[in-house]
Amino acid sequence: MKPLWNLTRGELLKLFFRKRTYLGFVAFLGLEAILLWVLQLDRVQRSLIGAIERNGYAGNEYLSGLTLALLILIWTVFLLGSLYLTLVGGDIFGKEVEDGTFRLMLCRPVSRRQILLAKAITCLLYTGILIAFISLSALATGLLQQGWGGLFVFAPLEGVFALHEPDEGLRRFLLAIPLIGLSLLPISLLALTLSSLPIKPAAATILALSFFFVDNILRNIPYLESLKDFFITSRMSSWIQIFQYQIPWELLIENHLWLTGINVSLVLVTLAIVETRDFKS
Amino acid sequence: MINLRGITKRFKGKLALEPLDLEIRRGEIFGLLGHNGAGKSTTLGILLGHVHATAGEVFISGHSVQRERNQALRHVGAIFETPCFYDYLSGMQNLRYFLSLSGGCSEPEIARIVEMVGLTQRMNDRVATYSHGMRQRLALAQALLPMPEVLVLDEPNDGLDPEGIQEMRHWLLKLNQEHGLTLLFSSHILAEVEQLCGRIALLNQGRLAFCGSWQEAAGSQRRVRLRFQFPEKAEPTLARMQVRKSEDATYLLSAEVNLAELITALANCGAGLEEAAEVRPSLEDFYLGRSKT
Repeated sequence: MKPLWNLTRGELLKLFFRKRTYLGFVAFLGLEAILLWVLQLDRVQRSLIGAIERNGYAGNEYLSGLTLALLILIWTVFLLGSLYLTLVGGDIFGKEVEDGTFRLMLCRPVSRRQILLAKAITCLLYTGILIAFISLSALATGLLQQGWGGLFVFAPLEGVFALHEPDEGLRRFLLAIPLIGLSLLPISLLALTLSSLPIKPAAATILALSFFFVDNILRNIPYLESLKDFFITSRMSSWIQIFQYQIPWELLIENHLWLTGINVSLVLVTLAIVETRDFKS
Repeated sequence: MINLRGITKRFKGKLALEPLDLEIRRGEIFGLLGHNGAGKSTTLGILLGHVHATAGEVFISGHSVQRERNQALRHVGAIFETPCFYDYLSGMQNLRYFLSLSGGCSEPEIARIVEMVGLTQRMNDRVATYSHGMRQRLALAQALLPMPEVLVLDEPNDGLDPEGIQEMRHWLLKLNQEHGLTLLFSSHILAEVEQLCGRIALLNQGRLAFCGSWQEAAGSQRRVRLRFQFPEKAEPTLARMQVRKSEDATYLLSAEVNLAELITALANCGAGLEEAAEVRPSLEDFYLGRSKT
């Protein structure tokens, strides 16, 4: 266990000492600021309050920091999150091979399997940290801007419409964070898998990103509604169900088991590639 | 110390390394020579577990690299032609990171090695600010910090200025003589190999063309410079004694020819022998001669 711990600690050191790792954090902060500004516009506020009031609730009570934070998450987390997750996932292995540092690692008495597991754990931790940062910073800025209040959830594509009291809303919001993290993990791991192939890290990033974007586009085509379950992004977007009045635990568990299966498969495929590949200068 | 037993490598069906057997003894400096594509890096790659051998096995201190990788590599350090590090980390962070993968080392030992390579003042600077020479010194420190018994050096002098090359040679000789380190040195800088290595192996198109001491290498291609008044009269004698004229106007002697007997025979054949001097082939002659075969 100690070599794996040393490797993982080293991977985290390398990751968080690199400036590009923070690109995602900075980009999200910038985007959150822009979105909060947009959500402050009179026209937008009237529209949101109108949507709530049309359903018989007091608009001002539910147009809160929680609501703004969730709106920001729904709009950004998949598109922008996947960009930065693939950037890091594609680099974490491929860049080391490209730069030659991987060969130095292989000179040490550690196995390829241990190195890969440490990198997969680092992908998991980075995904978790980025998603936690995005969610909590959105919540903090939302609360600062709009203050405390109930949570209004409206995600028509996923069939979710709900209003929660402030305490319950916060509880659901905090529950959603690890679910989003787990949902987006396949993005990081696919980038890791592709970067273990003898291709440029940038190519791995682009390929992984393309895969998820194409999958997302296809699942939103109405004619392909019957095939919805076959698209991975359908499974990935199920985290929003945590905001239903009655949480559909069965559906959430099923989808996350699927995603866990995909994650495990990706790690195994990467392991097979790394174990069999030759690393020459 | 290091045993390569029948290692073979095929890349996409093409034979890159024919079955290769080598033994590198404890405490010796062994040179691996060959032109680009000869199989040097593949051999070192298999030895370090970077490249999978199609067949055969490598043993370091009795442990198989293929089957007991961790034990085999526990006391091995390596330097590659391009010193690669995490540029955004400091020299010390790089050292500590790589060291952590080998199980660590005491602080005084780290300080001693850092001082030895002359980087004490720059260890907290980012590697991105290092010159090539400094990177190579850091590479040496990195290779020495698992406290190895074997040091594998793949073209370590590439990109170094003459001063850097001399410095590297000084360190390697010191490490070998004072600490008894076994060095496996791959290079195409022949003068460097000649000055450092006790024994050499020459690879040519994935095949072992020669393995032995420098003296054996020199002896395997004996040459003699001969000058005659009537060269045509010497030809039957030369042919009888299996002496061939080479491209550079010297004569190649087979291993069985006794030089004294040859000179006596040529002096008595009426060719008017004017000069007969043995030419000691340089490593370059040896290398080029063997690489052509």
